[in-house]
Amino acid sequence: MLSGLKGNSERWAGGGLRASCPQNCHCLSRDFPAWKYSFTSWKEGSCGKCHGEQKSSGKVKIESREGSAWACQGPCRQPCGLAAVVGGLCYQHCPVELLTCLSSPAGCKVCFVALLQSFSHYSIVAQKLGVNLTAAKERGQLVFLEGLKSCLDLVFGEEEEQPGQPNPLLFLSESPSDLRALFDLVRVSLSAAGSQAWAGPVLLLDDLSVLLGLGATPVALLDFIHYCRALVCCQLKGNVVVLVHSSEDSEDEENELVVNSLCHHSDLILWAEGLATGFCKDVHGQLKIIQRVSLQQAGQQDLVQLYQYKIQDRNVTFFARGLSAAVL
Amino acid sequence: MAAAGGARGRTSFQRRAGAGARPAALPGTRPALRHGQLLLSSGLPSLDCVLGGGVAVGTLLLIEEDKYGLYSNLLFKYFLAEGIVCGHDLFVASAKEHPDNILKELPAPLLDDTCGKELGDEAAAVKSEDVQDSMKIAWRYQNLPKMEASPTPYTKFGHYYDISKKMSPELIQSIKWHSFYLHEEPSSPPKMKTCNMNGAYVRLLQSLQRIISQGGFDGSDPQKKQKNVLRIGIQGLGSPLWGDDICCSDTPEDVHSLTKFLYVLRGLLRKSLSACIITVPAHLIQRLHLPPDLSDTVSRASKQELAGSAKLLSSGCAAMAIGKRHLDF
Repeated sequence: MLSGLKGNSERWAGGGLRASCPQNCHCLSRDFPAWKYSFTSWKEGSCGKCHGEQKSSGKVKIESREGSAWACQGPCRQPCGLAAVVGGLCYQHCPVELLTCLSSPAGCKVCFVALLQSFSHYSIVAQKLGVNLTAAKERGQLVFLEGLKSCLDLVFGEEEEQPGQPNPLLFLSESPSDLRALFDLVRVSLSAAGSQAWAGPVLLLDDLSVLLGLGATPVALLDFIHYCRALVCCQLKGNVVVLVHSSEDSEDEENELVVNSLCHHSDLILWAEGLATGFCKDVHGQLKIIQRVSLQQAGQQDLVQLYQYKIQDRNVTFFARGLSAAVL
Repeated sequence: MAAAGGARGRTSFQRRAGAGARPAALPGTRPALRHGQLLLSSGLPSLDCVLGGGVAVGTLLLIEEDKYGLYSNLLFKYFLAEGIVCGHDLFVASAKEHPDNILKELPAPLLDDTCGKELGDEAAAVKSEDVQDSMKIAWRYQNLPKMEASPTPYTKFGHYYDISKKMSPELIQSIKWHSFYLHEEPSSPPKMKTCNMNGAYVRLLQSLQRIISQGGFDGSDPQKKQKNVLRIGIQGLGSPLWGDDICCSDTPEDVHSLTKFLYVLRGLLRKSLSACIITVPAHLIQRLHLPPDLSDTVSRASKQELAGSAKLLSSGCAAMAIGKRHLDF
């Protein structure tokens, strides 16, 4: 269900420099800290890449193993964009499964930044969906960053570090407003030589709210997301899928700031939450899919679809409201 | 593989040897049905039901204390007592009470024969009638004792405790336990990076990591054949006694100290055979703005049961249940 792959590249011309695009491209005028990365196409001030009109006929179909297969498809989409998966308060593990369901079979190069759970957890979940994460990792299709392990290495590790590879979670011990090391990891893994063999790269981030809890400032986080998007969506023509958590009556202002900002910039938002009416054996939650058509064509309304889902042992079944097994 | 035949016509059904090599079961654990997690009992069988079978190994159970810490302390003690009865190792950390005193006040387990006594009175009346009838079909079993021998209580999953009695010291000495009392710990500079965390938390993490690696709970010692589970109990985390002013000041010195601690703890738990229970002072969870994911329950199965039984809990021990959260760690 992820993957709203819509081209939104008109907006993305400001990577690392104050961009002034002569081609009428609504560039962001915010000054981003110069991290010494030059996106060469933008240095000259012309956004040749972001005006690429590659309209592929790519449709994305999410099929569950048995039961209902439905396709998240629509008009032709450009294959690069940002999808935000927002989990409500009663969110379960649903989106993570769908994450893995989508990535590997399509033959994409995946960089999975997993901050919340261990690798074995994801591989068990993925195995139920028929995706073998270990095999993908071995053949180089999947680059997995296990946040928990890096954190332990950082905290309990010995003094000497390999000079070529700083710990990606360095912001924990050093300045909390610098997620550069994390971005370096993403950049290196997705632009590595030999990754042309795979289709468009996918960056999965699970999840962003944890970084806030670990001390990263919201601005640093938004910068990081911006850089990732500029790299993956515009430069490498890939997708970014980000998982965040939110709730309606949350008092956590920093989290809400990040979530709102992400939602504004996403091409596709998947909002998973539990039922407002409480526990139900047959319906585990509902999923709201918001396709941001308004970003691409001014004057259009966002497309909102509402589905309910039930998580079974090996797949997730989706159905329209009122058509659950409890009712039929 | 069933093979018909045999000298007397019995089927000689033999299970295929080695089909799915099963590791030796750890004492006091049982596998969850829905996914490959190992569950421990929390000490209260009804709480186990709410949690979807028990506390999963590698996870953390977080309890918000009620006003005077009465019920949360009880839950804490039940968790530790269950560990002793099952033969697990314990690690108790506290800044308020000395762990020795905590361990002296654990509830005594109810063994099977004391439970059976009440049922036996009712069954005796029924038994006297049965003696007259001799068995016609299963006459081989006539002379066997009527009551089946009760299995040893310690292999059961989930025990009952008598809170009015204290656990006997011999039982406590039968397991290995480690303690961390903040005020007795030497304040030598830690050998690990502090990451801007509170000094007390850093020392606790260091002590925990040392115990885990020395005890072989993270599989670092391949020689050790008999694996065991480590039950970790931390009392009153986040209170001012730990040197953290997050729950008593509006502008705390370091807001993220506790969340960083929890994250590192999660990393430690995930890679070792351990389960942890933590009690935090009241109202801390709201102030802490724990990301909602950290307050979700363990598994899908337990999720529904928690939602369904939250109402029951709130009508019962109200003071505790209102602030009850469950961290999936």
